[in-house]
Order: sequence, then C-alpha cells, then structure tokens
Amino acid sequence: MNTRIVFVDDELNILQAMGRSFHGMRNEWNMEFLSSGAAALDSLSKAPADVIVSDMRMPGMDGWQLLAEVKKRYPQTVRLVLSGHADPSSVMRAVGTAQLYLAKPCESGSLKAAIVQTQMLRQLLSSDRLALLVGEVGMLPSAPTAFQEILACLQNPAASLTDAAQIIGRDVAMTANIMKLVNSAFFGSRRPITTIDRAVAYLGMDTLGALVLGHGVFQSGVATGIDGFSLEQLWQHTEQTAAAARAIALSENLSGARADEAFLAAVLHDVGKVVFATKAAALPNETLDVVAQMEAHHAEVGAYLLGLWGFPNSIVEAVAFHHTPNRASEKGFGLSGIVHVADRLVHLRSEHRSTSIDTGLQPGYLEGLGLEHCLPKWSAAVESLDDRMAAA
Amino acid sequence: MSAATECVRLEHLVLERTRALEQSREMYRLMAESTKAIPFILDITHGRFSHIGPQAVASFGFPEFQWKESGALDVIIPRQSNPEVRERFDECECGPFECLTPLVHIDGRRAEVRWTGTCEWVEGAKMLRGLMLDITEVRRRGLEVAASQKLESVGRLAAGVAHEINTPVQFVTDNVHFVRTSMTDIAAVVLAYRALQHAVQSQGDVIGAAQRAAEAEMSADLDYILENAPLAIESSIEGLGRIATIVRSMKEFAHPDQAVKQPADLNQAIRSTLVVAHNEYKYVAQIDAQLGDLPLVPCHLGEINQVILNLLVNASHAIADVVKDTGNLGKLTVRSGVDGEHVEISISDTGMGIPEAVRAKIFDPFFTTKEVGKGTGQGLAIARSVIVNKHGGTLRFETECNKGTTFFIRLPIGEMGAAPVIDKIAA
Repeated sequence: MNTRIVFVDDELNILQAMGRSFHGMRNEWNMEFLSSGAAALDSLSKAPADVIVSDMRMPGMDGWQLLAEVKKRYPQTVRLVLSGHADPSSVMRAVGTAQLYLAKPCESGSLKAAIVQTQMLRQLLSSDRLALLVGEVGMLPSAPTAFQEILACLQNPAASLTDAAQIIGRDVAMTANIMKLVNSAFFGSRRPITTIDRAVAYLGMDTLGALVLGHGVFQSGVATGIDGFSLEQLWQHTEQTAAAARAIALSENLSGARADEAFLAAVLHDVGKVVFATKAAALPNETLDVVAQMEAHHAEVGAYLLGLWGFPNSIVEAVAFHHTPNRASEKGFGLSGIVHVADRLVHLRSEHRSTSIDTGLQPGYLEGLGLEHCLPKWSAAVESLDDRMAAA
Repeated sequence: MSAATECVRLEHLVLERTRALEQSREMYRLMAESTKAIPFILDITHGRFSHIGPQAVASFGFPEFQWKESGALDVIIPRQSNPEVRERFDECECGPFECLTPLVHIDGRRAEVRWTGTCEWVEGAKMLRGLMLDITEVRRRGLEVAASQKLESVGRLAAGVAHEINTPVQFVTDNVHFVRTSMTDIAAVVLAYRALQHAVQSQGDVIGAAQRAAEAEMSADLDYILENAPLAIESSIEGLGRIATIVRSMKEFAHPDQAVKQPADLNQAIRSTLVVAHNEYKYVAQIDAQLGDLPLVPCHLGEINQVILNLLVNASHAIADVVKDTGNLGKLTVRSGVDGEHVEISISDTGMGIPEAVRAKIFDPFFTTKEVGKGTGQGLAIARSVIVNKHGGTLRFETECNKGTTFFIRLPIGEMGAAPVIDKIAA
C-alpha cells in the first residue's frame, strides 16, 4: 500500500515546488498538498495519512495548532514540521507536538529521507496499536526524585553545567527530551549532538532553566498505575546500566567517544517502558496485561519513538535490540551487545542472582562472537563500579 | 531686671541663635556638598566663580583658587572651541538658565556638564547661581542603551529576514532539483526518438522503436514535465527576484550613518523598511502604502529607518493583539507627503489604541506595556530623540480606543533640501 503523505504550507510556491521535486516518488507515495490547517484536517477526516509535514507559521490555524489536533485525533500519523522559523519560543511550543522538526531551506533529499525513515521505523513495530501508543507521547516524564534534583540544581546559582549534565544524563526521560530538542533543526546545530554534556553546554544554564521551568521540557512523572513498576526503580536501573555499559566499553579498549555512545544508548534502552508507564496512567482501564505488554514490546516501542525523534540509527538499533543483539545490523560486539550485557548484569546484581546459571543473556550470542570468556571480566568491571558507587 | 542681666541674656540669645544658624548653615552645606551636583556662583562678567562646591575640585581636578581666578571660565570652556556655548552665557538674561556644555578637565579630558540656575545682575556684574552636574557617564550609558536597542532590533530583524529568504530558497531549490531530474528524463525520451528516427531512415524495426519511444515518454511522464518545467522556471525566477529585493532592501535599511545629514529619499526608506519588516506584519496586517511625492530630505537615514521600523513593529504588535489567532488581517497604513516646510510620514494601525492612562508616558525611556522580553521600552524614547533632538522635527500620535493609533513624523525639509539634490542626481 502506498504511503499517504499530507503536506501543508500557506505558500503556494512551496507546495508546487515540493510536488514537482517529489514527482519521482509518485509510484510509492500518495501525496496531497494543502494550503491551510483547516484543509488538512478536512482531508485527514476523509482518509487518514501516514505522515503529515506542516509549516509552522500560517495564517489562521498555525502549524502547532494543526499538529496538536492531528496528535489528538490521529496519533498514529507521524508529525513533521518544516519551518523557516528560528524563533525559539514558537518552536519550543512545538517540541512536544511534532516528532521531528526540520528547518527550511531543507533539501528535498533530506525531507524524503526523513519521511522514508519514519516508514522503515514502522517495520520495527509488531502492531498498529503500538504506533498509536507512541503517537500520543509528547514529552516524557521523569522519576520524581530526578526531577526534584534538576529543579534544585537549576535554582542553585552555584550549580554548574556539569552538575546539570550529570543529573540529566542519568535519567532516561530528561536525556531523551533534551536530545530531541537540541537536535531539532531550529536550535541551529548543524552537527548532531550526541552527548548530554555537549547538549547542556550548547544550551547554557539560562536556556536550560527557561526550558525546564517555563516550557515543561522536563516533567515529573506520577504513579504509573502499573503494578511492580515505578519510574524511580527505572531511574536506578537506568543509571546503573549506563555506568555498566561505559565500563564494559572501556574494558574492551573502545574509544572514549564510543564509550559515551554506549552510555547514551544504555540510558535510553528502557525508554519504551516510560511510554507504557505514561500510557497506563492515562488509561487505567487498559484491559490487556500492561506488564506483559510492556516487557514484550518496550524495546520496539522505545526504538520507534527515538527513531521518530531523529536519534541516530546506532542508538535506535541499540534500544530496539537490547534483548536480541544478534538482530542488529552492526556486526561484532556492537552497541546493542554492550547494552544487552550491561542490562543483564545489572538485573542479575539487583536480583542477587550473580551465581545463577541463567544469565538472561540471549542464548548463543556471546558464543557466536567467541566472547563468552569475557563475561567474568565485564562482571568484575560492573562489580567494581558498584563498589565505587557505594563508596561515593 | 538690671541692664547687666539683660545684656547677659541677650548675649546668650545671640550665641544660641548663632549656633542655630551655624547648624542650619552646616546642614545646607552638607546637603549641597554631599550630592554630585556642584553648587556654584558664577560671575559671568569676569568669567570667574565667586563660589564653587568642593566636589568640583575632585571632579575636574582644578584647585579651588583656579576656579576663583578671573578667566576661569575660559579655562574650563575655551571660547575658541565652543563659541556657541559661550554665547549662551554671554547673552543669558535675568531669569532661569539651563544649558548643556562641554567642560575640559585639568588633564584635558572632556566632560559633559548640565548647568541649571538663575541669572541676575548684582552690583554691575551678571551672576549665575545654581548647580552643575557631570552627565558624561549618564550620556555614555544612554548611548549604550541606544546601541543595545539597535542590536536587539537588528537581531529580531535578522531572524525575520532569514525566514523571508528561507521560503524562496526552499522552493527555488526544489524547482531546480525538479528541472535537473527532468533534464535526465527528457534526455532519455530524446534518445528513444532519435533511435526511432534512425530506424525510419535505415528502414529498421520502426514499430519496436516507436514502442520504446512511447514507453520512454510514459516512464518520464513527459506531459507532466512539459507542463511543469516552465512553471518551475517561472517560480524560480520569482523566488530569486524576491531574494534580490530582500537583500537590496536590507542593504538600504542598514545604511551606515555619516556624521552630517545627507539628503535622502524617504519614500525609498519606507519601501525598504517595509520589505525588511515584512515578516513582522505579514500574518496580521495588510499594508496600504500611500506615498506622495517628496523632495530629498537631509537626515541621518539609518536612524530614520530605525524609527520607521520601530513604529511599524509597534503597529503590527498593536494589530496582532486585536486579530490574535483569528486569521483576520488588520490594516497598516503608511502615508507620506509634504506639508509646507515639512515632510510628514504617518503610520496608522487598526489596533486597540493607546489607553488614556499611559498616553503621557509612552515616550518615557523604559516605559513598556509589552510582556518581558518583547520590548525594552526604548523604541519610542529613542525615536523621539532621533526625530526631535537630532533632526529638529516632531513626533506625535493620535489614538482612539478600539480604532487604532497613528504616529506622525515631521521632518524639516530645510533650505539645503533642493540644492544638493540636483548635484547628486547630476553626479
């Protein structure tokens, strides 16, 4: 079936030129070009779209209003902004509504790649229901303790950017939200920002404060409504897994940049669980077994979300395959593998089953790489980390 | 009561009163000398100070006796370099006196001083009594505020202009990409037709070649290309024209100011300012420009552009407050014309009007009704200073609640108006 894409812009010249430059896609894409938000909603009511690409500033209903409405009525439709506006406040408004923010002028090739990417990501998902779930996500909520920490840090005049980065970097939701924001085209960074340190340094303390206090870029999560799961627990697990992933990467003599990437991937590996937690709180009457659903699908849901948000493929893959690293396209002991091992080792430690034979590792994975002998070394690296954490 | 006791009582009284007087005198002295305003009595006739507050010594370096020497005024305000200022002193008449003058420090630095006092004749000499205040620092800060206001408006303008340019760049790029791929497709079709031609001439497989030509046409979607390629080129030319207009206007708008006024075409200034500010008003207002014939007006064009921009931005904010998100457009009218010895430019909006309570304050520095971050409250204060102080014009407004506001800029054409104009055109 063809991908249906709706393009919205109040400038006729833009719509016509886009139509021409995408004419070559006519066999794969079913495209519609509309000049107002009202026309777009009307068209969607007749036939839902897979993707909507909207301008931001338009007379009458602006891009934000349109996409907010689309998010409410058709959450599964992927929402892209293509705007020439560099006005941060209007764009901060959009960051919880649009999944990807591209800046004009945008090469038709880049826009095409972004659209194609959203459709490839869909293949990660095992059901349409999950796309709906992700589509409803705006900003992700943080563990309340972590949120209190960042608030205190931002209100403390003596706090440094390093302090802020440390707090943000240990929380999955804050990390995901802030990376989405700084990598949005409107923030003007040409090269992707891949570490929290750089993201925070790029924003600066004042902007960070404004984002958090004024724009709700970070939010405190409420009770999840899922038995036996809390954002606080997830926060602890996330922090430990991230530290473990970095330790494993370093013990394999990987570069510092690679270790940072492993850390980031590990911070984000359970982001899908936050999606389920948010959703369960919103819909307490969910009839299905949410815990089982979450356990089974959080990897694909998290990967789909980060993919839509424009995270680099390596991170998306590591999140998608953190239970099944042999499915990753990256050969050898890649990011997925590192996160997988770190995740399992931390689970084992917290469950006090370090002596258990069942490691929970994907059967045959390490053996296939000939790395099974490394497990004790990694285990030790992670243990020593625990000691250091306890000491601190 | 004896005379002697009466005498003692009177002596006591005198002592008491004297003490009281001294106390009062001391209080006034302390009051006068504990501010930065320097009390003085200037004997204009002899150019010397018969009294000068001790702050003057600390502020300007000259010891007290030098102030009191005849000709002291010539030292601090040399007649040669400040003939006009000195004339103000020479010609001042009895009554209040206000003046801004330069003043030379003992080390040669120049300060700017505000004088305020009263002039009167005392025993055949013209005496000026009052306070003088060193405002050099205040002036400098004022200039900094003006510069930062200009930077702020340049910053927001740059963002707006970037967006104005981004839009045509976006569609010109898309169109050109389309034409490029179309050329490849057309080439394939042409090759297929050449093969057909060859087949006809060499009596080869004409039917097969014709079929391949038809297929090539189909796969290239030739009809689409033939219809759209010329449109893509037209649209690109329009887009490039738009970019050129914006860039030209930006250049005109950012006209570097000279020290002396230069004759300028204010209608052109209005037009280029409207182009650079387009992003500010395009979603809230339609422009109605009624520009009459104007002579060239001597002015600092860059500053006049800033004033027009400030008024346009204020007008669009006023309209935006009314139309909000309705999608309706207000009306922004810009008129220009000659009125006697003046050129008048007016900018009208269809906003809410200026509330009665704030009308008197709108030209005050730092007064703003805009939310924090949207305005510094400097725009109108600077506009007035540019129009009134620098150009000898007037800036006023008429406003009506729920109807809108009109600002009127009046600039003197001046006698030098016509002559240099012709020179310039001839050159």
